[in-house]
Amino acid sequence: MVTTREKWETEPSLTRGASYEQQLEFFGIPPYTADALDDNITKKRQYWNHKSNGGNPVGRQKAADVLALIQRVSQVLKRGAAEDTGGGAEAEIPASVFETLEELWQILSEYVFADDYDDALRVAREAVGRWHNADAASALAWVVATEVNTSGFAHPALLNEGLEAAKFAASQQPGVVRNWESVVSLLLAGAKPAEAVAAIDSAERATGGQATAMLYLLRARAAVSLGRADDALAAAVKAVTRATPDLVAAVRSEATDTLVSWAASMLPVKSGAELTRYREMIGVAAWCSYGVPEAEDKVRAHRMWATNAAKRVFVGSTRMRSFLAVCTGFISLPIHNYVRSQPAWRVFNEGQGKDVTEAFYVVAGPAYVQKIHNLKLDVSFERD
Amino acid sequence: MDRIFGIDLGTTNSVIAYTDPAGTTEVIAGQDGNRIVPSVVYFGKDGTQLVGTSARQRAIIEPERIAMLFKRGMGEKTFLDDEQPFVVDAKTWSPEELSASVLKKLAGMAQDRFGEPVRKVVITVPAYFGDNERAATKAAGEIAGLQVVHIVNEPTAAAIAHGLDNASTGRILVFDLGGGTFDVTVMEVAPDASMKVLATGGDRRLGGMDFDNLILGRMSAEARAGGLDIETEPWARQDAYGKAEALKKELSTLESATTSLTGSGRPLPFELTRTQFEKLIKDKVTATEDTTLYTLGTAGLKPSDIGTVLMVGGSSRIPVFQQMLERVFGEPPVFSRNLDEDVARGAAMLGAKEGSDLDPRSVLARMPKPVDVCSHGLGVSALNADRVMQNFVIIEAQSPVPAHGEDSFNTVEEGQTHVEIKLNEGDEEDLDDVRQIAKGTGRFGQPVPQGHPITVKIDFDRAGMIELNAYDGETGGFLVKLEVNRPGNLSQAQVAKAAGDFARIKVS
Repeated sequence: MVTTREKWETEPSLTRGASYEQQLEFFGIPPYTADALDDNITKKRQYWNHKSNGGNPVGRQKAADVLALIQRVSQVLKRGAAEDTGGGAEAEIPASVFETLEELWQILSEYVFADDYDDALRVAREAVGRWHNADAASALAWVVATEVNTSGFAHPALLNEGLEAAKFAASQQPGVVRNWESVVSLLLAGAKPAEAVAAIDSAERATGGQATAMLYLLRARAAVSLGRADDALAAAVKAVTRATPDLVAAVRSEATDTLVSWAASMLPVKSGAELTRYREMIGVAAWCSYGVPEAEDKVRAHRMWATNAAKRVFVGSTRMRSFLAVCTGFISLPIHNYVRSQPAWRVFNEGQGKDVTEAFYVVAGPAYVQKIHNLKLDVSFERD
Repeated sequence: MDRIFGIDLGTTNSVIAYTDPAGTTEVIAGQDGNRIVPSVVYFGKDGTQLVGTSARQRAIIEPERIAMLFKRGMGEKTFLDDEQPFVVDAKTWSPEELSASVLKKLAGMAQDRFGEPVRKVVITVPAYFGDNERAATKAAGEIAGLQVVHIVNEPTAAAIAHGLDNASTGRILVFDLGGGTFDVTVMEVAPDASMKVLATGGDRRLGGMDFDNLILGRMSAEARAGGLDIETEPWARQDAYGKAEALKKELSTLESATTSLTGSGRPLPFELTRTQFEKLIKDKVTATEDTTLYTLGTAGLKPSDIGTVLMVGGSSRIPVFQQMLERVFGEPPVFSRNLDEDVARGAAMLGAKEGSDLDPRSVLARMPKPVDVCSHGLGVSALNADRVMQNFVIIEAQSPVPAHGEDSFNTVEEGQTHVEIKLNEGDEEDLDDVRQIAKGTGRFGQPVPQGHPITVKIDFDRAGMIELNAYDGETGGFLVKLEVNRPGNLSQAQVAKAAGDFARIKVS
């Protein structure tokens, strides 16, 4: 039995940092109203759970990734702010087990390490309610910022709650870099990159220029959001050079992610200038990824395309070329080859219509080209 | 006339049963009195093998000589999580060969009971097993020197055993949560006891062993925090795994359970409450609920359309699954008479029906053979209107077996002389979501124009055999017949060689 699925059900991706409205759209709202959220989450999860049981490991992995995304986004949408009650998991340990700041941080760290943000938020909010000071606000802001950075999504109410706490903590303890990191993370999550850059500048002044690798990573992300390529590249490089040995792999990976995501959004390149910019991005991303296998994997296919996209590919008739070559004693061959050839990126762009050319298959055939352009090509037979 | 035995070849436990001509079924016990045989194989240094409880007891002493949970790898090269082959004394053992050891042990038990060698068997498999896994199961039987008369779906076998005990009619949902796999099957039982499967779904990688692993993960974390290492030493890990399984079983009746972890030369107490356990497996419970409702949906049914929810499989004892089903269906589920034995009993009943000496007056003889469905769609790869390669389903999942389907396609290029046909298992369009199980090339004999028609026909028979034939759509000329290609399985020659080698191995 073939069941017709709605488009939102089969949609596998949601861009990191997507707005609240986009998160709701991921679950079909609109056209459905907000009270359909629970049902739609279940419906989408059931569909992808079914796909995760297929016989192909590639599809199973993809479905497992989508299921993880569905879980993250649905948790964010249901979590909301302090007054919301939905989504909280049952607590395993009593709420009031911390007496000192050190104990509070230990408990929060354990919850966050276990990915249990419901309990971490509950404890952090209790600390704010009990102590009403910058230490507690700093802890709450850290939990919210870490959750937002990990999941990649935020509920507006929770974002505001965290941002208020982070700003309060930063104003009371301006020398504590962690507070600034929370402020900037949450501003970026709230799609306020210009304010985030201003906050990073404030942080640098307040900490006497002791910006951390994390702050530079955040600056790179802000620059990407503002479309400032040069700033993004410079910040990514600084983040890697400033990273402490215990964090260098994570920072390299994050910096690579930021640059590759941006470079990927430039595909397919539509001009020589765009190709140059793409190649710069990938060049720096490749440098950032050095020595971190999973980061190198992410950048590899892009590196190959960056290298080959400008190479010229023959687009004319091979029969005509042979004919002319024989008639002119092969003298015309180099000229004919040049005149009737185009850069690979242009062949790729022009060849994606109904009348695909042989040259297009030459360019788009390799797996790495199909992978980064999200294509699947083959010729055998077609449906009647 | 050879007796036909029914075998439940499970991930964690296996059972053999026999139904006599009068229709009475007996679950056969070994010499130790146990009717349930752990699916564990121990390789002795003298070349002999131990299967069952005695093998399991050696898991802590010599974990490197023990194979368990190999059903998860049926149809693949290996069953190990790290995807490395399982090697003992420089010989690689495939999941089929390991399963053959268990089958040989079970056959030996039956031989002891009836005093004659076992030749014919019906073996059960999870309903959601694909072609590769079914073929591998059949090969395991052949390696053990058995003739596999039929491969039967576990939920169908369980429903037959339960149905004959309880005379239930109407729509039944069988929720089969075993040691390594999960199946859900919706069936219709008529007053004459005939059974028709309406839909089936499941997860080949969800079962009790996953819950044990989650407990083990928690044990490791607590052990680390307590300065204890239970991961480095294989024996310590094996010991902890056994304790995790025991804790899980205790938590089906107790609110909390305690054990002692051993490692680094000292003990550490470990306690787990039922609430903590349920939190650990929350995602798995949700996954079974999703699969259940999705499968129901593919049959066009709602929870209120189901009369009886039947729980089968050892992991069905875990209360949170019972509670989930009661919440979804509004009624408490019922259990098969014996959660661990009903699948084998049902297989034995079907075995008796396959034979010819069943008393025609028995209820079993009068019961029509059950009608099963394809658990997966079957289709071929072709370009769609947007010139993107996709899977075109020709036989849809949930089609009654035997099934036949055909569809027409066209050549893409001018002057094409041949066509490559790929047969896929799965009901999705995206090629990443389906498994290619065969491919072949059909030749026209001469160049044909673009748009030349091709007809593809697929047949799926009761034995689970798949046949694809392609024809020239204009002349009707035969183009190609696809043999199902099972790269993960042993070839016929390898099965024959393994069977020869295996006959010399002593299994007890």
